[in-house]
Amino acid sequence: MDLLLAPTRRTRARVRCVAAQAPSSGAGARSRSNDEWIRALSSDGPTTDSAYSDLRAVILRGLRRVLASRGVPDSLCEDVAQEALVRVRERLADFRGDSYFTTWTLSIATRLAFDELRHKRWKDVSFEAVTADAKTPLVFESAGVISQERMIARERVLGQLRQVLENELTDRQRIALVAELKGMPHAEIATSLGVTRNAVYKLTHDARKRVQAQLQAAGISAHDVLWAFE
Amino acid sequence: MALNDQHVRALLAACQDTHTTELTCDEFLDAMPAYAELCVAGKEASPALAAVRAHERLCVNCRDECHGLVQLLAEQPSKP
Repeated sequence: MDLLLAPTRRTRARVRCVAAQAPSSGAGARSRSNDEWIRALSSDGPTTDSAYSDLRAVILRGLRRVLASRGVPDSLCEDVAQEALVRVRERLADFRGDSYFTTWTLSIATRLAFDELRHKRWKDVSFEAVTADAKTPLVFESAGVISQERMIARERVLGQLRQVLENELTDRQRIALVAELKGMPHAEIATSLGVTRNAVYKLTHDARKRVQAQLQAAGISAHDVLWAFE
Repeated sequence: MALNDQHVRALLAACQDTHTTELTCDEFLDAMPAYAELCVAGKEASPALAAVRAHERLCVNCRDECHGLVQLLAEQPSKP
């Protein structure tokens, strides 16, 4: 994950060992304030060990709740929980205090879990295959029969879209946009392009802005687009 | 490049909803914990959260993660 610092090997080993061995205090996981969590996790000693164990229990419960319906094995939940603990420890200073600490922890765990699920789904999909036609002229494959009037309206919109996609985007913008449209996760696109997830979002954002500007300059309103592609 | 109905509709819808400045995925992740709690409480419509809502609409990956977190929080028996 590009947003998190790479955890040190020592931190990772210590957190994993502590969380696995220390008994959870159960009720303690529910009674800590944000400040108490931060203090307990920032220090060393039995209180810290117990806090890590409690936090691991919170993360595991949460992950099992959200991933069970997706058929995710418990082993993956365990792995993600461990990784999340390490990331939390590394990023303690980044906690903004505008939510419960446990919610913040679960948000990190959720992103890790979803990234892992998406990677498993897409790791054998060739980026080159997905984006092979990104540099070729736009071809619109429409299903269904539409009226002549709507077809003309569509062609008007597609003409502008074609102009932007084929002539006014950089190669990277076009490739990122096509990959995104075909469902590839941003993290996978980022890995394939050798950039960060944020950079992929910026590429597609810039592409969208270009299309938006082109449509506006051509006098095509949101209503026109909606009607043409109903 | 071959794009079907779904691709084109998704692209055009996203373009219509595009803003000059948008949050990055990292910025959304930073805002997600507080935003998810507000979603559970039914208070996510604040104008101050417009940029967060916009990113959620436009980024399918962040949207999935946020929905997962909201689901998780909504099913908790009580707040930690």
